[in-house]
Amino acid sequence: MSHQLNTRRTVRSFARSAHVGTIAVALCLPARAESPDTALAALGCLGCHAEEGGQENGPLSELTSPRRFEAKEIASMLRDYREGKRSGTVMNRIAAGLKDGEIEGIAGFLGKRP
Amino acid sequence: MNPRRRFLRLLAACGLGWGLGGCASGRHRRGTGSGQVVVVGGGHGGATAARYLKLMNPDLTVTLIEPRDTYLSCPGSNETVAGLKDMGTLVRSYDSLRRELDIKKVNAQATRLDRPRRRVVLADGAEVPYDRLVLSPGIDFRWDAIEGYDEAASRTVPHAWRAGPQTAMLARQIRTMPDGGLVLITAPANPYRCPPGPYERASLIACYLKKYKPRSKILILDAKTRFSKQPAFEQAWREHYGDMLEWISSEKQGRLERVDAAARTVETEFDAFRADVLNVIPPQKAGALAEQSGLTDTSGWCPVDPLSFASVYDSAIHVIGDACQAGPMPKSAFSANSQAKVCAAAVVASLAGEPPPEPLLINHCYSFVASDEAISITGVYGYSRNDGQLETRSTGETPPGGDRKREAIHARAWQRSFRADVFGY
Repeated sequence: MSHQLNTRRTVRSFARSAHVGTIAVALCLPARAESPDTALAALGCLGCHAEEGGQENGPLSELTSPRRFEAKEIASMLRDYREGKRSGTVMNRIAAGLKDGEIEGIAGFLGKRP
Repeated sequence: MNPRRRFLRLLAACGLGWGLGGCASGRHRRGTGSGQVVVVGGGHGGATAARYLKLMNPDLTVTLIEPRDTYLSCPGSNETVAGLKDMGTLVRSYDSLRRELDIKKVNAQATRLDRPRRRVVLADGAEVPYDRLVLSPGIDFRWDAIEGYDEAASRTVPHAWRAGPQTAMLARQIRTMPDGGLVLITAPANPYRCPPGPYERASLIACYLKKYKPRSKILILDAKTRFSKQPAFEQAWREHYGDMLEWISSEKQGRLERVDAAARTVETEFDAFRADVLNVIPPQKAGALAEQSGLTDTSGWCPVDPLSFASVYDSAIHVIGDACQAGPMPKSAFSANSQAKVCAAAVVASLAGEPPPEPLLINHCYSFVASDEAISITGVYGYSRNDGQLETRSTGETPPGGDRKREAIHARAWQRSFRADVFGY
């Protein structure tokens, strides 16, 4: 009973956000068998690319906020890091651990909202 | 909408996805689930868990039990030993977690778990009930592992392996030692908190001594035959410190037999050393509360299901961070942060009667090798359904000739970004 009330309230609060649609779509894609949850995986990226807090003191120098980019730009950068077409410090090594579908999902979560 | 509100909603949307189930996998829609979640331990693991639990499901009651008013970050603490930073820069506040996310902070020591009744018992006898408990107790030291090095000995010969008074003591001893003196660091066998930590510490002490006491020497007496980021460390050592810094493998000196804290001497199987500053990093185990509560195995660490970080001994208790055995993941603050998010998602799902989402975890860690140079190690870890364990997807270290100056700039930016992700400010 209380669960349903909570749910409705939560949904209403999301409805005020322009970004909900995107997230809902991302989460409603059919789950592929034996694959990680890419929204959860994307949260791991925030250990370095957190945007809160830093905003108050200007942008975090050098560690770029992924929200500056469209999802497709992030996906393209991650693929380029993985394939060695783009050079970085740690991102080549991290991207090497990601598969194609995962890159799309992670980029979809992190990218700029319309 | 300001970034914080937007971000909070994005994360809450994830929680909605997991908690509601249904949409991602066609499962039956059940509701977000609410409940009492208690987090014990306010380090990087516990603070991240508390924060993300509340971001993913604002309807949860989240209580963080931690005796200290503020936390001192271990990442960055070696820089304070070398005088590159003030201890004040390590302080982390819980104010944002309390005020912005309505997390209840209980300033008390959790002394015991009543597992059958699902209660955490505090030092004053008060009890805190839980539906799910997240335990992030960090490490404790094996005071019986090295003859002569017990808790009393650590009051004059610091381990400095938890940021705080021990760190300040080591920094003071380095500052007051004579030029031409010997700094001796003993490094333990794996596994232990922060695998590259002893070598970063040696690098930064060398950086300080080279400037202020250039006739001094640093020895690392290791219980291992190799160590994390070894090629990158050794390259930096050759370039910056030459003969000043020497690493001695266990192949050369064998076992560390005994420590005499009063004389500041160390005996190995083959030799004896007298140090001006002695830093003994002893072998470790999971924090005391985990051990006393029957959540550790014979290794001294806590076995968990890596899908949810639930203890294999108690499905209502999740163990994250240095205390847990997470397969190939090293014991680092970043690992704890990554595990805490997986754990939070699993707790939110479990309270809604859903299975945990499948995780993909990251470790990432910088070590300074000089005041303006750093190296790093990274790893990506997936879940193997074949054996129910985490498997390494990719791992890598700064290569020879890597851009250490750029990594140092990233490392300092990371310290701020990581604080924001863990403590919310």
